[in-house]
Order: sequence, then C-alpha cells, then structure tokens
Amino acid sequence: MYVWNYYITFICIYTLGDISQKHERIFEDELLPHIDALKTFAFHLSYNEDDANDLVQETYMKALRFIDKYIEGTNAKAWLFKILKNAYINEYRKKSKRPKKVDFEDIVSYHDSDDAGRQGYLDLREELFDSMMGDEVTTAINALPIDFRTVILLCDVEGFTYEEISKIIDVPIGTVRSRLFRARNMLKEKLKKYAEKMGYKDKRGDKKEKISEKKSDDTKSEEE
Amino acid sequence: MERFKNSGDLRHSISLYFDNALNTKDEKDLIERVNADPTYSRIFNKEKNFRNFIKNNVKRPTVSPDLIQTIRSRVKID
Repeated sequence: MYVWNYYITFICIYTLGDISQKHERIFEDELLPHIDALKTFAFHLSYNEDDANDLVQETYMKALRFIDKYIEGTNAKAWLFKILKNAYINEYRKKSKRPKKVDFEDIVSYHDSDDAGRQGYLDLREELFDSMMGDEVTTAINALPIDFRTVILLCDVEGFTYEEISKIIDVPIGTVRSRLFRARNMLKEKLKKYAEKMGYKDKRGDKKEKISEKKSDDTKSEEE
Repeated sequence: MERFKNSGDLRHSISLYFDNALNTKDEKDLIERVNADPTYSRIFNKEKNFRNFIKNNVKRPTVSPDLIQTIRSRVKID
C-alpha cells in the first residue's frame, strides 16, 4: 500500500513537472514574443500606458490560467488578442477615463450590413501625408469609436486576416469588412481635417476646372 | 475578374488586395491591370501609401523590461 502511494506521488510530481516545463516553454517561445503587439493594442484601447501595462499583465495571467486550451504551435497571437479584447471589455472599458459621448453600438449594428461597404470611398491626396508628422495618426485612431478603432488596429496595424479578426471580436466576416470600410473612411476624414487645420489646402477643385477646360481623358477625371 | 464597373469596384478590390483577402487569380488579375493602366496604378498607390502611413506612424509604446520581469515573476508564482 505504502509503495503504491509513493508510486502515485512520484507519478504526480513527474507529470506536473513535465506540464509545468511545457507551459513555461509555450509561455517563453510562443506567448511572450507578442508582448509588443499586445501593448500597442492595449494602449490604443485604454488610452494610457499604465492601464495598457495592467491589461497586458492581465492578458498573460489569463492566458496562463487557460493554457491547457491552447494548442502548441497554433495562432498564439490571435489567441492572446482575443483574451486581451475580452479583458478590456469585461474590466477596463467600465473604468475608461475617456467619457463615452454616444452609444455607437446602435449606429454600428445599424450600418453593419455587408453590402454597405461598396460605396463612397473617401479619397486622400498623397501630398496630405507630407504635411503630417505622424502623431496625428495615433490621435485620429484613438478618436474613432471603439468598434471601428479595434478593426483598424487588428487589420491595418497588426495584419490579422478578416477570419482572424472575426474570431477575435466575435462578429461575422461581413461585419469585419464593413466596419473596416467605415473605419478607414472615418480615419481619412479625420486626417484630412487635421491636415486642413494645419494649413493644407486640397486643390482638387481648382484642378477639376483645368481638366474640364482641357477636356482631358478619363484617366485624369478618375482623380477627381 | 471582369473589368471594374466603376471606381468603387476597383477601390473595393484594391482594399481586399491590401487586406490579403483576394484569391490568387483575382490578385494576379488586379496587379496586371494596375501595371497596365495608369488610373488603376494611381488609385492603387494611394491606398498603398495610406496603409503604409497608418502602419508606420501609429504609436507603438515600448515594453519596459520591468513589465516583462513582473509578468515572468507572476507567472512563476501563479
């Protein structure tokens, strides 16, 4: 009997040690390398570094708690982003320091039809980028409503696919597409306004007249 | 891929291209058209510049070694 108990204890210690080593390896090799991307995402969700650090820590703690559900060698980055997004919604969003002026969820669900994303692409002049320092990108992204900001960060900043984003934020792929379309248009509008505020003038109106005078071909008119 | 009915269609395809959401055939087709048509090329480059501008200029706060150390310590304790 005693021998049997010793044997069971030995097996338990050996197995737990093995699991622990495996978890540690996954943590170091697969989870920790995404800390920079997680911090960027957390920062743009929470608006400040302290909350972002807390959110990243929380994410890793939760990841460790549910590490048995993670399959080694799969998409660790998407898994961590989903955990972070949920942690933000469950805890940090409530205490967000920036007051929520409008409930955008209603607007988002109203506009989230898949076919809505095919019209009205907003165009930005390339010269506009020259008039900016870069900081305004962060300001413009952070000024977007949370659901639009999230898809921009996941797609344009982190390079996730529609399918991955769909899983991270729990919405259909069509919704991801239409949100991205709207988010980019909103972002372009904000950047354009910022550039105008800084003195940039969109001269497309002037150009239009010149083009029409010259009766230019459709190549030029496309630019309008 | 048929010829784009309007600039909205073209922009939609370009957008899908940069989101890596076009299939290989449509992607190849789009690139051929972009290379052959200056209008397509101009719209393509505008979107490319916009995407790069966002990606390269968004603030990416640094992760302090302290944060990594704190997480490592907490992981070991938990």
